[in-house]
Amino acid sequence: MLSQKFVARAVFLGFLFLATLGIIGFRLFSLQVLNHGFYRNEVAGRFTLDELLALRGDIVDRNGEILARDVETLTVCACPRLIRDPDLVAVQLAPLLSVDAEELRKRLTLDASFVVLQTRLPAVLGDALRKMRIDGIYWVREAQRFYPKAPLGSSILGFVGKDRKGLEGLEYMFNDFLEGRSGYITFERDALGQEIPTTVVIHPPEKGKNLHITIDTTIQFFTEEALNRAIERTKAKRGVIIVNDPKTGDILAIASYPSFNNQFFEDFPPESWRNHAVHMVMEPGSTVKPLVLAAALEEKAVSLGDTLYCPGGIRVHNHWVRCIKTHGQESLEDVLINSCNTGIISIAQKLGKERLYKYLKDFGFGEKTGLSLPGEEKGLLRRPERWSLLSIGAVPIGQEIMVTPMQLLSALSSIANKGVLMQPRLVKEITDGYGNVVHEFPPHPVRRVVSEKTANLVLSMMEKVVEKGTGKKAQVRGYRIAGKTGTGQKAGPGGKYAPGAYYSSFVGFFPLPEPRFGVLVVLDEPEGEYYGGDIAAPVFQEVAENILRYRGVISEGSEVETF
Amino acid sequence: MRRDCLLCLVVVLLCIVGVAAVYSVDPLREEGLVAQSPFGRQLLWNFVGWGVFALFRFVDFQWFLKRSWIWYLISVLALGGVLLFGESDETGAKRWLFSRSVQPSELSKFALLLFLSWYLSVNRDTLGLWNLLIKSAFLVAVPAFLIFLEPDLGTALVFGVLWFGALLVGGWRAKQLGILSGILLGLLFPSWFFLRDYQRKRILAFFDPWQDPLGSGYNVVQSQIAIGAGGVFGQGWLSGKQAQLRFLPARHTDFIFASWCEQLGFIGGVILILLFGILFWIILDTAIRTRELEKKFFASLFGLMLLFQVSVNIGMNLGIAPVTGIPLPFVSYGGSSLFVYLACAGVVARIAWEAEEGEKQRWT
Repeated sequence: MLSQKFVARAVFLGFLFLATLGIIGFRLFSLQVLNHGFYRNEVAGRFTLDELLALRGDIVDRNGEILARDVETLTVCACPRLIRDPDLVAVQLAPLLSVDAEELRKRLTLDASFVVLQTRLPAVLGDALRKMRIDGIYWVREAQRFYPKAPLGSSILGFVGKDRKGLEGLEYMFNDFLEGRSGYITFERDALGQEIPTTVVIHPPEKGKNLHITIDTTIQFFTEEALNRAIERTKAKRGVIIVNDPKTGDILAIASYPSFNNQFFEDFPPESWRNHAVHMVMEPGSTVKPLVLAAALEEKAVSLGDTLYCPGGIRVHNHWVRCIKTHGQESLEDVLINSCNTGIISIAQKLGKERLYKYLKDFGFGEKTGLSLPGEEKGLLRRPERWSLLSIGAVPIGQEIMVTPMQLLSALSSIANKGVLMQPRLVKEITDGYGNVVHEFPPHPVRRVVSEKTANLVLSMMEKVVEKGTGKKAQVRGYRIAGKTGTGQKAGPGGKYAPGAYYSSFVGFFPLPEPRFGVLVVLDEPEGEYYGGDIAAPVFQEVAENILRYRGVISEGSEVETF
Repeated sequence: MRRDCLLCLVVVLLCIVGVAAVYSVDPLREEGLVAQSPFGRQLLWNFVGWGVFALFRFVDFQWFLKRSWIWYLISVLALGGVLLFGESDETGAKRWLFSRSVQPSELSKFALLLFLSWYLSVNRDTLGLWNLLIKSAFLVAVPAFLIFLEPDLGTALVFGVLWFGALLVGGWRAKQLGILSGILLGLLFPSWFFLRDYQRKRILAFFDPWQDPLGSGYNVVQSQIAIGAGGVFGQGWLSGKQAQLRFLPARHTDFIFASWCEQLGFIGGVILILLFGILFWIILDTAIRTRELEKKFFASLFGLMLLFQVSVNIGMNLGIAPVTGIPLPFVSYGGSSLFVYLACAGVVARIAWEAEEGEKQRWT
């Protein structure tokens, strides 16, 4: 009996529940969907938000030099209808705002309720204006991004837009850290629009985090100067110089041309905002030869005592690949010294395309280096299945593959770093306003590509290239330098190589035996001479000489005199 | 899916909603996981609470039921203790014991559920008689009155609803219930004079909150604005000016539904309501299926309590029920309430499981 009754009453409960749900659901719908606009306006209008300015964090170089900082500026504006004596006000304000008094008077007598008188004034003017107490004159505090060393490092730092968000470079990549959190004051207004004192809540603003980068401002300066001179001399279309520390992967300087000034970025075309160190892709040319040789030595496809014969060219499938000249009998070392195509292709043929591909991939070709700059390209490294029968004659001399300057330098740096590929590092750490480290980016080894023995062997061969080979013009007296030249042909429209269009490059490491600096110079379409050894090597020599002098590296020959 | 597993799943989802919602309005959120922060505590209570759930799920229900008069006595004593040695909270009401760690009024809900189920099922032969009605009324009235004195009108009301629900499912005749409702309605008007000042204001504010939007109507107005500003898709997770700028009072306790809806909008609100709906349906279904009277009582009374608390809490968030300090089950910040609900859910899960086992045996 009870059981039947129970079911009936449980069903009653169920209906009760359905009705409740219905009422709740309908009410929710009416509040959130039907009357959403009313409540949204209620939130927006019932209390007021006054935004408190938050400063963006600084960008600081490896020696603590400030490269980017926020400064407070004032914008002074006026309500002309409230100004009783425009002539007097104009005379009073003109020196402060550094505008002409007559000009100012005109603007103060306009029939408008709001005019902007002057922007970007120093923040200290606020006190003076406060003392003057002129009715109808207002000022607003604004933050202005300031690059004390502009245009230095513009292509690394990037810039911020009108909305104070980073748009390019590090400003863009690390916007979330650099950006401060603006504070605000909220207060409710009563029916007459007066603020209610008890409802005032202040949330203080929070300054953005500071970025500590690996760039050395002085080296950056040498590098940019050297690139500008080189561009002027060679009339090249584009150019890149990167300086790094092969041991840690730290980037010490990047110069990129066409360049711009980040303080006035609007005046430059958007193409010039790009950092070509990661954005430009090119056929590397002969600069990959040390990598091929290292792979062959590591795999024991060749051994140190082997000799090769260069008859001035080599047959690959049905095609004759020409060498620069007939080199005759050569040791392995001579292949690099002479930058001999025949030699390196026959070494690559012994290695085989599968292993060649594997090593080039391990050296970081075909994938992004992970440098923290926007717009990084990953280049092109085709899988061996997709190689043609001619590819084995093209890849070892740096054709049919595309790399960015950053990839090229970081791959070759692994030879200078005992065979370990390091990830290029641009940001060391992020600190907050009190100097506490919030985020750290320690040097990051990606992988070991070749053994220490192989790497040192190839490095010593590269030293010979500078000593007596194609890279003679890179020599700096008194220092041991390892390097390699490169001359890559540019593919024109339609995929054919364009006549007379070349990438000239030089990569070098110093001081041996423990290189602490790596420099890559790339010039795109220099006019006249185009061999990397003639065009890029002297630029390298200039940068290297400056770095050695600046860092005070003691030369090999000099003896410390004792008294 | 097995009924007890489904129940467990729904309750887990509700608890996750609760922890997430508490996190979203946690004032110490920026400092990460801190044990003192509401979020940290809610997480901890959830861990303990699920232990309680497991205990009741796996221990025989009869053991607790037979001793339910002990729990009842303890809870009455604790409520008396609150009046004598209790501590007050911000509103001045004495509701806490042991340096504001235990709210006996919450725990006594569980004791009363057990006790009513046991008492009525023991007296099953006299169910429906006036005699038992009056006896049970007295037994419920004692703790309810103690709670009313704290004062905590909301929880006292829950007790009243439990009792009335017990009469309803216990099989009293419609005529009797009608007479009773008449008497209660008649008592409603004189009771106005026994209410505290703030309670009266709240009820007045319920009828016209915009009369005094900065005073007694503040809660209701702020909560409606928060929900309304949410819109269909909400202001976004961890944003929403009403809750984040602390306009909304009791953001992580009584008005957690409003902050949830401000952030996740109509969609989020409907999902939460549906979860409660499914849970209620499972509990009711369990009550119908099980064969033993005491289990029927327990499950249906728990369902009724859940329904009442959910609709009064969400109703007050939406401005269609007066503001009484009733938390949203499983979701609101607070250990005592969470433990009680998880314990009850554990018991119902066990009842559902036993019912299914029983059905299996009958059919095989």
